[in-house]
Amino acid sequence: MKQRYLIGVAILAGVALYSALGSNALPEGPGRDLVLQKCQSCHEIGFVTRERQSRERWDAIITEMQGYGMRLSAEERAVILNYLATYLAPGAQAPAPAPQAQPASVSGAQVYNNCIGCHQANGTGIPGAFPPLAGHVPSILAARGGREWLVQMMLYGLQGPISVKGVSYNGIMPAYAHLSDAEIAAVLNHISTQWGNSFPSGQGPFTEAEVRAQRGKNLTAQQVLAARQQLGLR
Amino acid sequence: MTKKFAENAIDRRLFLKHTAVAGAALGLMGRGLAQQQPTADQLVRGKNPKLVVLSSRPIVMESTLELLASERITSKANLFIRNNIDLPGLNTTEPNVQPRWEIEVTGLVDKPFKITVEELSRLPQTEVTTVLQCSGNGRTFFNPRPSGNPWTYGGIGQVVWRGVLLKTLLEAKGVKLDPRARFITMNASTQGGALPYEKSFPISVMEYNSAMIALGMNGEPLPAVHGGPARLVAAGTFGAPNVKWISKIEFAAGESTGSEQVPRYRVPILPGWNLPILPTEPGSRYNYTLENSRSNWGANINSFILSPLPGSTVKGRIVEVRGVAWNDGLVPIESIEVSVNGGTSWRKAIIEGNDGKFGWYRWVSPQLLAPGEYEVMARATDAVGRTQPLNGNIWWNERGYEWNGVMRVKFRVT
Ligand code: HEC
Ligand code: HEC
Repeated sequence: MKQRYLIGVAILAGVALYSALGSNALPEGPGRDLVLQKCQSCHEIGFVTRERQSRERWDAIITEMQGYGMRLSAEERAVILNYLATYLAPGAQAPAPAPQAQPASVSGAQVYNNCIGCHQANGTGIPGAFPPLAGHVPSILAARGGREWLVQMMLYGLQGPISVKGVSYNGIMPAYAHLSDAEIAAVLNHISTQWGNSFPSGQGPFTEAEVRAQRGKNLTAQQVLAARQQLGLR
Repeated sequence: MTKKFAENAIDRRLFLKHTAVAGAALGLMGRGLAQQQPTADQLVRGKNPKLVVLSSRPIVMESTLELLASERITSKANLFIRNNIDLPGLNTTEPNVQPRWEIEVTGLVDKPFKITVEELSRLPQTEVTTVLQCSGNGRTFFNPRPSGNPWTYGGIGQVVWRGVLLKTLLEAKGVKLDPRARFITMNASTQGGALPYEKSFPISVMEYNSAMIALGMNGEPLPAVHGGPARLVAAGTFGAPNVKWISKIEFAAGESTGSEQVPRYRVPILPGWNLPILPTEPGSRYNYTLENSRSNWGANINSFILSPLPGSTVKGRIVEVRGVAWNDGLVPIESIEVSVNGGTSWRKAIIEGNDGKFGWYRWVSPQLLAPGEYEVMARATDAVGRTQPLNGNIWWNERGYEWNGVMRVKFRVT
């Protein structure tokens, strides 16, 4: 039983990040980090960011969450209540979207923040839910057509039953077509060289041109799955 | 019987580690890249990408008026999802083939038993068409907006269920109910580490609402994300107690005291008073107890205008206003009235037909309209005189349930 909870929670914590990234962020203010830390283990943070409630109602909501098993010290509770009652009060505005300053050079590690929620910071994934990238990406690179396929998977996503290192997965890998060519190349280079991974001999880093070449194909995630079966991965 | 979301059953270190990672990465993202909320089809295989995602964990997505208007029976691709708890691996509209799936039937019965889905599938099956609706549907129209998922109109669909009536099941098993049994309490599976979910129905749903364990939907095995392999369905009721992935059915003297039963999924009442919902001051607090409130059980009477769509332009002069109406199925819907002049005058629509007493009544109201801007309203009334309020906010309640205010649709005639 305990083991099952562990896996469940690891998935929750992982996916929490992923969903949180997509939802409108919380306004800056004292207590924000605590809200982020406490309020997305059981549901996405959007449950919180979308609300505009009075102090009384937030107070009751926190009590209800404690009823669900949320652990808070009295001090933490007060900080969270103050934050919610101030920044998510009736009529409060959503924060302006962060300025889209494009860094001069994109770092793969930074783009990989998109992926941590599922594949984990150390690339080990979560067995049965999110496949590992550590110790696995090189085998995709080494397969014939593997490089192109990785780009396609980034652009069009992947869904359907797969098996990685003897463990079955049947989830959804989201498409990242909204990232720039440079960002996709950077994150692929990152996952190809981190955690002991390396490019097979004779292969260099991904280039923007390689990414651009796969755009406009409009594959479905199922077609990407079918293409994966052609790679002959084991 | 109450259950806590067992944070204490969690390895604290692992928990903290992961939330810390999440927090750290979030900090970075603030300055980082543009993010996209995943679409319905990315979250649940087989869903129409046009569904609107309200939450990705747990999965909550609503249909649209346009999609609802496009089919008589809501297809699995277009049906809304309101998960309270996601079951790992079941985010798909494909069937969940588990013939050994077991459901325990226990509590105030002379012979408790367990039954597999396979055995259930060999018992006599019943089909019933129902309107499945989340009791929070329409929540965003309450003012001030109550907490909870921001549903507009799409938390609804008309679906054909197929399964074994609870009555049939008890008969087939030769099991007798104890006369003290007043409620049915249902539990969802915790397979894959899912957190528990528990809800109760009054036992009368066996008599009046064709309460069944459904194994099929729209002529196919029940899609995994809609509760496959087996869920409870009581026709004419709101969605919440129609527990998906059912693992246990308990006959009991009292209703569940878990938080799904109280304070959630309830509206205020004045005990012994003949009012469907006790009107409360909009924006005020209410301290829900089992006594001063009631569960969202029977669906209240409601009607939707499905054509013209809001904001659309249609050709005059004959404009057919079309829509659907439904209630809890206990008495027939008698009339749908339509007004195109802000409620000054109302004209009865023609009821074209209905898909059984628990299904949608399809209605049409041909109107002769000169070019211009219009707002059309529709109001259903049933045989015992239950009808919809012109101002739905009269039923404002803290959690925003059971909205059935008259719908208003603005459109243009050319
Ligand atoms: C231990 C698990 C847990 C934690 C931690 C938690 N919640 Fe919740 N929360 C729940 C559950 C369960 C629900 C109801 C699920 C649903 O509606 O799908 C919920 C629902 C909500 C809702 C919707 C309420 C409504 O009226 O429908 C809000 C708002 C909310 N949570 C806010 C918070 C905030 C703020 C925090 C952090 C202070 C938090 N939650 C932390 C379990 C939790
Ligand atoms: C929402 C969770 C999620 C996120 C976020 C995510 N992935 Fe995935 N990823 C998956 C799942 C699930 C699969 C397996 C899909 C399947 O079962 O068909 C997968 C598969 C993959 C694979 C292929 C593994 C194989 O053997 O086919 C790679 C490579 C990958 N992801 C890289 C990334 C990168 C890089 C990012 C960030 C830009 C990322 N993922 C973000 C869930 C995610």
